[in-house]
Amino acid sequence: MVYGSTAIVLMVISVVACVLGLTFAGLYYLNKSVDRSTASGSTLSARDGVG
Amino acid sequence: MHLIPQSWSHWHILVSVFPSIGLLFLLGFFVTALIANDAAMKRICLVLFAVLGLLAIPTYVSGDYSMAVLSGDAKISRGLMNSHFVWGLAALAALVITGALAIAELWRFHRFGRVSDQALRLVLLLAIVTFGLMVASGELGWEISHHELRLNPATQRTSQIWSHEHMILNHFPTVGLVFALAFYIIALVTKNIVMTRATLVVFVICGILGVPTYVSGAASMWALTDPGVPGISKAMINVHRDMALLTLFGLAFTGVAAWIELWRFRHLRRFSDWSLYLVLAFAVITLAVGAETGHLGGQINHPEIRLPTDVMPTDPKAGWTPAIELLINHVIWFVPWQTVHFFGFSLIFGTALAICLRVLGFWKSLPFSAVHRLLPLGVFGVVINVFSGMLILLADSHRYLNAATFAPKIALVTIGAIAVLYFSLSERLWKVGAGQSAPIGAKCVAALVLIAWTGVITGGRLIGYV
Repeated sequence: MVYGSTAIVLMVISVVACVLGLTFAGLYYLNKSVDRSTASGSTLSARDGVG
Repeated sequence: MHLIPQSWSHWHILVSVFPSIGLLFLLGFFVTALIANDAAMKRICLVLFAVLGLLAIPTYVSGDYSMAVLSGDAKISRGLMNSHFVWGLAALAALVITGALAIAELWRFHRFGRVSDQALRLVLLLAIVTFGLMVASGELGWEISHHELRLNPATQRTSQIWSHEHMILNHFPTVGLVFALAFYIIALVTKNIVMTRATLVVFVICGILGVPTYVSGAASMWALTDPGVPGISKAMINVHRDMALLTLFGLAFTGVAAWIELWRFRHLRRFSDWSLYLVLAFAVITLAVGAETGHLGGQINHPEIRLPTDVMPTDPKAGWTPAIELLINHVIWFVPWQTVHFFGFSLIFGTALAICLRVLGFWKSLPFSAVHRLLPLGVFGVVINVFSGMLILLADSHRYLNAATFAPKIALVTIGAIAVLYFSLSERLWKVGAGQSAPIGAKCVAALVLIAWTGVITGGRLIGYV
C-alpha cells in the first residue's frame, strides 16, 4: 500500500504527541506528589542534612 | 502446557537453575544484608542457603536419572555428560556444605540469639566458590543437548554466540523474579526497609536484563532457522516469541514501577503501600508469563521434555509477532515509531548529561537532590525506547542483529541503565549539598554513563554503515 506524505506526517505527529503527552503527564503527577509531600513538611531533605 | 515436570530431564532442567543462577541473586541479597548489617535479612538469606542446600538432592537425583535415560541417545556425548557429572557433583557438594553451615548458624541464633560474623563471612566465601563450580557445571550441562553450539561458525549466517548468550541470559529475569518475590513478600510483611529497597533494585535489574534477553532471543531465532537446524521448528519459536514479548513488557512495567518507588523513597523517606502492592501485582503476573515463556522456550530444543499429548504448533506464520513484523514494515507505522525512538534518546541523553555534569563538578550551586528530580525523565525515555526499539527491531531483525555495532549497542544499553541505578541508590551522592563535590567513585560512574549512552546512540546510528 502506498501512503501519501500527508498521511505519514499526520501519523508521526499523532504517535509522537500521544507518547510524549503520556510521558509528560506521568512526570507532572510524579513531581506533584513529591512537591506536595515536601511542602507539607512531612519529609526531610538532603538539604536538611538527612540522608 | 505442563509446568509440572513429567520426566527426569524436565525436573533437572527446572530444578538446577535455582542452585546456580538463583545462588547469584541470593549472594547479592546476602552481600546487601552484610553491608547494611540487617539482622533479619541475614537470617532470611541463611534460610534460603539452607533451602538451596536441600535442593542439591532433587538436582542430583534428577540429573542421575536423566543421564541414565539420555545415555541411550546417540546424539548425546558421553564424555560431555561425564564432565558435567563430575563438576556438578563438586558444585552440589559445595552447596550442601554451604547449606549445612547456614543451618548451623540458624541453630546458633535460635540457641544464643546471635550469629557469628566470621561464620557469615565463611558462608559468603563458600557460596562464591559454589557459584564458580556451578558456572563450570552449567556450561558443560548446556552443551549436552545444545548441539548448535558446536556447529562450524563458517556455515552460520547469524552467530551461535547469540544462542549461547540467550540460554544463559533468559534464566536471570525469571529466577531473579522468584528470589526477589520471596524477599519482597517477607519485606512487605515485616516492613523491612532495607529488604524492600534491595528487592526493588532486583526488580529493576530484572527489567533491564529483559532487553538483552529479548534481543539475544531474536538473534537466536535467525541462528537456528537460517540455515535451519534439524529438529528446530520456526512455528515453535514463534509461539515462544509471542510470550517473550509479553514477558518483556511485564518486566519493563515491573522494573519501572519499582524504580519509581525507589526514586520517591529518596525524597519522601517512606514508601507508598499502594505503589508497593502495584509492584507486587506486576511481578507476580510477569513471573507467571515468564514461566510459560521459559517452558515454551525449553520445548524448542528439548524434545525429551515434550509429552505425547503436547500439541506442537506447525504454522510458522501464526501468532502476533509475525503480524507485528508485517505491520511495522509499513512506512506509516515505522517512521512514527522511529521518530519516537529519537525522542527517547533525546530524553535519556539530555537527562544523563545534566545529572552527570553536576556529578562531575558543573553547577555546584545545586545540591545533588535537585538534579535527582530530573531522573524520571531519563527513565521514561528508556521505557519509550524499549517499546519503540523492539518494534523497530521486528521490522528487519536479521539485518539489525547481524550489524557490527548492534551487539555493542545493546551491551552499552544494559551497562548504561544499570549505572544510572547508582544515582538512585548512592547514599554518599544523595548527601552532596550545594557547593560540595561528588565522591570520586560517583564521578567515575558519571563518566561511564556518558560513555555508555554516547556509545548507544553512535552504535545505533552506524547500523547499516559499518
